[in-house]
Amino acid sequence: MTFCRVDRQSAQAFLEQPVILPPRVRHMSNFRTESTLLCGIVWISGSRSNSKQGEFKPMAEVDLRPGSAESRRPLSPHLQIYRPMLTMMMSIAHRITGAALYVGTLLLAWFLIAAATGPDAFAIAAGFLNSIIGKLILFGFTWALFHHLLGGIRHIIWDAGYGFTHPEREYLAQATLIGGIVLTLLAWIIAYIVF
Amino acid sequence: MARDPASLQTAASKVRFLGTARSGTQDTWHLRVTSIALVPLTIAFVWLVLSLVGKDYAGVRATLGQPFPALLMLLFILTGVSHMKVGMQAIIDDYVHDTHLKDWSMMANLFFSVCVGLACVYAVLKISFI
Repeated sequence: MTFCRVDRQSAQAFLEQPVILPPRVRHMSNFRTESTLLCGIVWISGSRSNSKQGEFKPMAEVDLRPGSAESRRPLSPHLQIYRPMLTMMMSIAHRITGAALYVGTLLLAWFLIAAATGPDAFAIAAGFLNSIIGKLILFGFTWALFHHLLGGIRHIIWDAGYGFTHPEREYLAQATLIGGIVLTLLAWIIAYIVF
Repeated sequence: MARDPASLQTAASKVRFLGTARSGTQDTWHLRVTSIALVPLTIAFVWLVLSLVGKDYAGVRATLGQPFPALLMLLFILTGVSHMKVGMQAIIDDYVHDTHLKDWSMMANLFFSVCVGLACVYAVLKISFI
């Protein structure tokens, strides 16, 4: 969904690395450009005998079984090359908060079942949640909830087609981050005032 | 069986409108719809939890026994569990590639979601009716 900017120096360094390819696909070195992302669509089969570029063959006919010569194909550069940006970090934080909330529903289930079972079970659950470690977990859970909520709203804004251009996507990312922290603090301040 | 060699689509997939993933965009759409539902439901859930702060056993049972809080809690649980199951499935699809581990992960995800959802729903209903 988001666009990553490649650092010019590391792109240069990546492109200048020696390309070691099996003989049958050595002509792939001609295609190791910044549009490497598109290179999986067609396959260039060169042969050792002729020196001109080989013909294109469709991906359906490429032998991609593990261990075959053609399976050792050049791949798009990944984390070694992209400069970390806020939108990248927010993307993985959205996934991590989602997974944390997934596990955190156990806490909700424990509390509700304890409330449904009886006063003794409820006392244990409430005692844990009121302890230091319980409050720490709850604080983290609240932050994850608000961060994932605002991140979800950001995704819905993107789905509607807005906010992809340069300053807007940064503002959305910053708004999500700051909004998550602000809402968490707000909720906990209200909880302390009530209590 | 005439097939355009330059096309990546097989004849059968053209008829079935699906690719090699064998499923379409149902999961993505489901995530979007549950997300939109969860925006107001999460705000309502947080408000409900804030209203439970400081209450003892009887107070919590009294609040959750009322129809609107119980309904809100039920809606939040059911929508949230559905959303989390599909979301976790997307995570599994991205990171687990070994066939057997993928199958067991998918089952673990399904069973966890169903158990947690059912446990929460049962607890809320028990508070409301008993």
